[in-house]
Amino acid sequence: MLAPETVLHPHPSLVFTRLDDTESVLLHLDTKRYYTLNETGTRIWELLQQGRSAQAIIQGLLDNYAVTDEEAMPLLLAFVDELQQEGLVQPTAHRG
Amino acid sequence: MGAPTAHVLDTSLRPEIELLLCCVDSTVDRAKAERIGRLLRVDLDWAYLLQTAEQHGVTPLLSRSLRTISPHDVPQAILEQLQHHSRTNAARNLFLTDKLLNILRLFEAHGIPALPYKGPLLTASLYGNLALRDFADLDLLVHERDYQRTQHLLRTNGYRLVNSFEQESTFIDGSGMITIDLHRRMTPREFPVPLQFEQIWERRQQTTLLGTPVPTLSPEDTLLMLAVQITKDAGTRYLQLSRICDLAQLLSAYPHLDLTAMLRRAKALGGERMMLFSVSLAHNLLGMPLPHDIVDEMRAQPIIDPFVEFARQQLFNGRAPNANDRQSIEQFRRFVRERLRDRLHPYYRRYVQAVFAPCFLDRQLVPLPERFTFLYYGIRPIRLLCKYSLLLFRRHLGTKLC
Repeated sequence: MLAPETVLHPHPSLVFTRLDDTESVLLHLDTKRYYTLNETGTRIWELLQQGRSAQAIIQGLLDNYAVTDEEAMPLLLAFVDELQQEGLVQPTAHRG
Repeated sequence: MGAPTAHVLDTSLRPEIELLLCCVDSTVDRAKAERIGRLLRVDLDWAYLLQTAEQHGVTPLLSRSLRTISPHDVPQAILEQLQHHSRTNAARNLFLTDKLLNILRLFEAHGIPALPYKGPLLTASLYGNLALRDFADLDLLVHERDYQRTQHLLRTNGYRLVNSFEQESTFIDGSGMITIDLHRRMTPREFPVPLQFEQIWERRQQTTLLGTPVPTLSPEDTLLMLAVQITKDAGTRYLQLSRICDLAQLLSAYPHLDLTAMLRRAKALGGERMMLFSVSLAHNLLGMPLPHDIVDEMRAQPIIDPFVEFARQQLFNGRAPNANDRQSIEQFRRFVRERLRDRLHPYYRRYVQAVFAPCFLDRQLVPLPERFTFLYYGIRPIRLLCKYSLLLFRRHLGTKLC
């Protein structure tokens, strides 16, 4: 379970660019693998890059998409799980 | 100076090309969107469209426009193909941009001021998005005095020299994935717009690449550079639509760029015709809006029009230039050399070299120690004078005896 104050750090070897308003591309410079993110994934990634906490990211999703609090958390968890499996985010840290 | 050799021109564009030209324009207004909608209802040769877009480095722009404006009128398989290209292009651009930043750090660590341009810089500064343009290599400009040192630095850091020209050299890294074009001059001597490194460096601006500020050409110098590039490649298979889009995008991204003042500056540098030609070509192909005084200037020089039409036709005809085309290209290249000294330059170089540069025969005739080799520059003209005087004398004598 992701604590509300958890901050996830993108792997330092990742570079990112938007393709358009609905999609973006992440490239891992070490593995040379690239990943595509859909619109919601792109928004979450941009908030992660800004160093936002899980709670702030959920708030960002609530502000931008027609989702409820209950829907946003599983969405974020599933996304973070995939990111962690691919080694795209560093081990979590907690803000003091 | 006459107009280019006459050709029978097919003035109607294929619907695929018309669609491509509508889609690569960054400012797709309502009228253009309607035109795109109309063209999408025509029976299109999608394979030809995709191939042409790729050839001209504009697939990401085509993909963006079709996905945004009328995705339901495009076959799903085509949309997927376009999207796949855009994704892999974006990943490659990210990779090359990161490598460029590494190279700039390397140069900085060795005290070499360098200005990257074209590639990632144009993409980021003009389109605001690293994914929206195809590029394959990294262009860097260094001062003439640092040129050899930079070449050495690249060689000692895993890059191999694969090509060397008067104004630039090409290096490839060990993996073959990174190509660097290292320039000591931005424009070749045959297209004389003397842009000195010191002045370009003084006028430099900053662009952010992957969060890192990077110096690059000012918009004014970018415009001059693009005008020379478009002119240099016009009529040949090297001219890509992407380059013309860059020029139109530059004027759109920097609306305060004073084109009239730029034309005056280009004239002072001997590049007014190149500027008028490239701007006129972009206007002709993409409907790029132009200030009234530029339109007036174009009307005052109607001789440019046939060259623009020729370049436009050549851009999409998909065949290698024939003898007529090559003649037109030569005429065009003579035409853009506005000043007498620029017109004489190619001949001057060829003949001065022929008269003064010592060859094997000169060295054989008068063997000199290494420290006196400069004397060959005097010996050669004397030897040539003797040789041809003798030939003339013999011919004259022969005529008399007959």
